[in-house]
Amino acid sequence: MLVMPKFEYVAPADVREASRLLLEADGKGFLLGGGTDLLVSVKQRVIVPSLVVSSRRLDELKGIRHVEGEGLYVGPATRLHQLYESPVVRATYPLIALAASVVGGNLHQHMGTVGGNLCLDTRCWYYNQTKFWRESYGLCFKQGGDACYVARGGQLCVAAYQGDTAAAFAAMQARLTIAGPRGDRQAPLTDLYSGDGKTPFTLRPGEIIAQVFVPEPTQPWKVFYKKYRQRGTIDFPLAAVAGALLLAADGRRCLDARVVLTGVHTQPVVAERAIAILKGNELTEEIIQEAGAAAAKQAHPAKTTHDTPQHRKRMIAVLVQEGIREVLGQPASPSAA
Amino acid sequence: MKTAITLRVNGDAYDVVVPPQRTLLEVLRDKLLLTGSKQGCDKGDCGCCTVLIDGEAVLSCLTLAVEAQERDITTIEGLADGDVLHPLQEAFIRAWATQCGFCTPGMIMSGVALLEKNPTPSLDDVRRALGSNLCRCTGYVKIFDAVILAAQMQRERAAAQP
Repeated sequence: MLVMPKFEYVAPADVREASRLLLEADGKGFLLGGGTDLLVSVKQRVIVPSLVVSSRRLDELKGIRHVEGEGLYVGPATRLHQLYESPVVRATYPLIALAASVVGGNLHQHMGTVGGNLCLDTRCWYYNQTKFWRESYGLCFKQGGDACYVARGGQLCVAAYQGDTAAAFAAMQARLTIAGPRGDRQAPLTDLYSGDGKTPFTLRPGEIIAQVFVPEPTQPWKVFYKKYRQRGTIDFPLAAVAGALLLAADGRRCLDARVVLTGVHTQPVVAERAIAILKGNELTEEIIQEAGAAAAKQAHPAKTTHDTPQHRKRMIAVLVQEGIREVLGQPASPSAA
Repeated sequence: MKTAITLRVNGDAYDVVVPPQRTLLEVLRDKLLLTGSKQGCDKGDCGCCTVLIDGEAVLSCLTLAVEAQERDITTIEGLADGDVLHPLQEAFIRAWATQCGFCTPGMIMSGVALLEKNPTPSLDDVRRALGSNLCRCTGYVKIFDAVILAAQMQRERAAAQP
């Protein structure tokens, strides 16, 4: 039984009020979405909040709105299942629907929120343990200690970012509106991530994601989301790839490409080398193999999961290749052809 | 600080005083003595604690009790109508879908949420809907069979009604 420590709880009805309360909590306040990430961390004393600010009455942060010719506005308190159950998201933004439909398990998708998934704390098998377990080892960087048990001798926390939807939103070039004590600011989604496993987000004290905006695709992008995980119906990605390809009329030449990796670094990674290989080229088996290998080179998993970094890196190549073949209507493996 | 809240569980209103860190599962089991919902992993991995809130299946171990106020909560105890079992409960018996039984309440609640939305689920729909529920005794074949059977029984019951 994992009993939570004491904390105060408030459920404001206004985002400014929520922001103020978080700011005043001086780093000990946390915004509660679905609770599937935060409350597990609180139970394990990975996070010990003095204040939990509920989003349940923040109606302005909920819902999906599509403006034709403009884009999709998603409230961060929208539940993940609402994304893939939305006909407009499925039809016009299928990559986002695909990624949302494989987050954790069915219950996590019904509880978890878009903002919660984007702000999923970085994970590591030394860190995401009970306090009892961690105390037997000693504190690591992420807990304020002075060591990393994964990258021994390393100077930075290498905990992995394992959110699914961030890769899809990044591939769709999503932008965020962030509300804070000094007013709203806009930022590309990719700027949300710092690259440091210990403090993975660039949100300033009191800041809250107020909206996620996805520009409407003006071209017929073909998309894929490929995820490698331990069990098919639940689990975080050990490695995953969100991809979008714009093909010429012949269906073979790639006019433009977007490939974003997740689960294999401290933040989502735009696989620029793979994109450069795909762009402008006919998607032959050779190019597909090259693109997969190039994406794998940009994956930097550490020993943060039960699976080895080498295998997760290799799986990135496999997932990129399978995704491209799927878009082209080919069998997942060339040997199956 | 403790808060006085009212929880609507299985159609009844319960006034309870709880600290904010108390989960819905802890309140259901320890305060309301509704012990049908089980405490398994206590961190969202196993689905034993699944209940319905406003018709949606959720993990009660990861839901604060204070977050569940003003909403309709259904637990496994609220399914049967007197001595008449819910079709899913009946189907679990008829399909031999239990072994130790610990995961059964969670499986049934996830199944109920599915059948409310989709009265004619495919096997893939069932597998997906029960994907967060873990059975550590055996396999899932008879559990999935039971949900498909329940869907059929529910349709038959509806057709038999005048």
